[in-house]
Amino acid sequence: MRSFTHQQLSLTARCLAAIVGAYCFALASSFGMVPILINMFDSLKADAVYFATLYSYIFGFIAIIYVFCRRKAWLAWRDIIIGCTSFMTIHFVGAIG
Amino acid sequence: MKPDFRKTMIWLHTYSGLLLGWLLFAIFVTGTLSYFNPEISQWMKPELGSQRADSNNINQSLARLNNDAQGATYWRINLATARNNHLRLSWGMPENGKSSRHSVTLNSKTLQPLEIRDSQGGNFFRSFHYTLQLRNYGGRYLAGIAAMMMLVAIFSGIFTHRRFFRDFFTVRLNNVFKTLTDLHAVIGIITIPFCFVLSLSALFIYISMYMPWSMDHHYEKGSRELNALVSTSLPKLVPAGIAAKPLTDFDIVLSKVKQQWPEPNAIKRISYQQPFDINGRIVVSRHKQLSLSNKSEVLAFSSVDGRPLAGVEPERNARMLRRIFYGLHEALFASIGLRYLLFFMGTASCLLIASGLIMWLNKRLPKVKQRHLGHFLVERLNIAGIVGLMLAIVSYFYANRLLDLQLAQRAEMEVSVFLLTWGAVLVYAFVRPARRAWLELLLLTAIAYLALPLVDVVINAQWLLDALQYNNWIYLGFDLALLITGGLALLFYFWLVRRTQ
Repeated sequence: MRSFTHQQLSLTARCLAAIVGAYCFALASSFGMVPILINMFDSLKADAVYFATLYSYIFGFIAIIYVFCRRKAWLAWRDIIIGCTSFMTIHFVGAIG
Repeated sequence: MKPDFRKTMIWLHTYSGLLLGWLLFAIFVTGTLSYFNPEISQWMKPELGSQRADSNNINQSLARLNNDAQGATYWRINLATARNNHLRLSWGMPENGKSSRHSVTLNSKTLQPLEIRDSQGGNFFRSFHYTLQLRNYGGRYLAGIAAMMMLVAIFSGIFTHRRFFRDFFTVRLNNVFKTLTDLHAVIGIITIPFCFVLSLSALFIYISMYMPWSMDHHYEKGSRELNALVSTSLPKLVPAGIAAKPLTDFDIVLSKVKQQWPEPNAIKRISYQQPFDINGRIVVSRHKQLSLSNKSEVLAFSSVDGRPLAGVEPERNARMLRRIFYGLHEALFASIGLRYLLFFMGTASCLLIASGLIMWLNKRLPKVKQRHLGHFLVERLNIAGIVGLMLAIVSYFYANRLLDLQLAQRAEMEVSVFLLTWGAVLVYAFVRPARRAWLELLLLTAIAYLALPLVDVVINAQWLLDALQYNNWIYLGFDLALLITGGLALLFYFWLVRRTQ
């Protein structure tokens, strides 16, 4: 019985990660990709924002698949949080520089 | 959950498909119908007639506008096309600072004004396809979620098939559920690229709704400001305030257009902006057959003497990328053969989704001793979602023919008939035993589709006679499509009766 509820909890955590987490990751990528596109690919700011928003779906999609493949649900969440944080860090660093 | 990749993918495929399956089915069916949007509209507005103009009627239309709309702020001519015999003139008259809109639909042969019945035609399917008739209640967000789920279902579906090629070449016809499983595998493989492009482009169309945060952060006015930065358009027209007569002999402009756009019937729309001003402009829009992008190509000329004016600069790559995906989604570029291929792919995807939904249930039902609520719900929603939608669509066509022409808000009534029929089937599906409900509704659907061309002839035989006389294949094709759909439904009915005793 205990393992059953544990499995249910893990599944709920993963589903939440796939819905909320993946969207947040996509959102973070639409910010974080802007400085990357500007500095590494010489994009204009408008193009960079536009492309970053278009590409964000790809990051969201990868995140959805990823969270269901991670061995443990909490690892999936941890990785989503790491991903979001790194993209937002790039965004803030880019905004300063 | 076991951390085995393939098992995870099977689980993901099963439940992402099940959760949004009915929604995806409705979206795919209406979207597939939208490939023939102008043709459906032509059938639903039979007053447009089958007689076609044999020469271009631009000059006659301009003469009419010049006569009826002196001093207008704009004139517009939407020309009849090979896909829809709808010639429409519209103009705006200055009225205390604003401009009031007028329009008239003409018979493209005789140029006499026509009374067209109030109907949304094929546009209803188009807008239902992405708003789900819930435009102000988050319908487009739901459609976006469905598109993302479709991507997940496609990706995970690929890993569900271990034996890709063996599955592809196996169809067992002696057992309903085995046939269904094999059909699902075969169609699934065929439609991977189609579904992928359609789902991804669907997400790209509404970036400013689904992912507005970055734009809102970087630009004060958000997506609007960003779009203005990456899009290009004709220079803004400033009226000089000096009166002038508009050009009413279009041949001068036409020869210049022909040099740039050599294909026959290249022009879709002609707009005169400020025709009675010396700075007035003629904007000629091209059909989209030759361009993947959803942006119409335009040429600009002076409305006084027809000399060419500055055109539109090419757009930024990012904007073009999105426009091309938009264009791929709408497929207005597709010539007749390609459009049928896309229609076939759309139909196949609908079958894919429907067979998937039925498989979920039939894999589980024989194994469970005690059915729970989930089984019951899926069973009933399958009936209402699959046959119910087919019946609702045909009821929309019946409403178009049978509702009184003078009815107030007739177009909305047609849509209400569609929704009410669907609701009625839902209730019916919940109260009848499942097998009986399937068979009865399927038979009803078959009869409804087969009888509609007959009903059409009984109401007004002239429409069909005209279509035959003038080779109006749009009208005849629609009737044929109804008969084929009805015939297939009938065949399927008999097949099911024989196989599921």
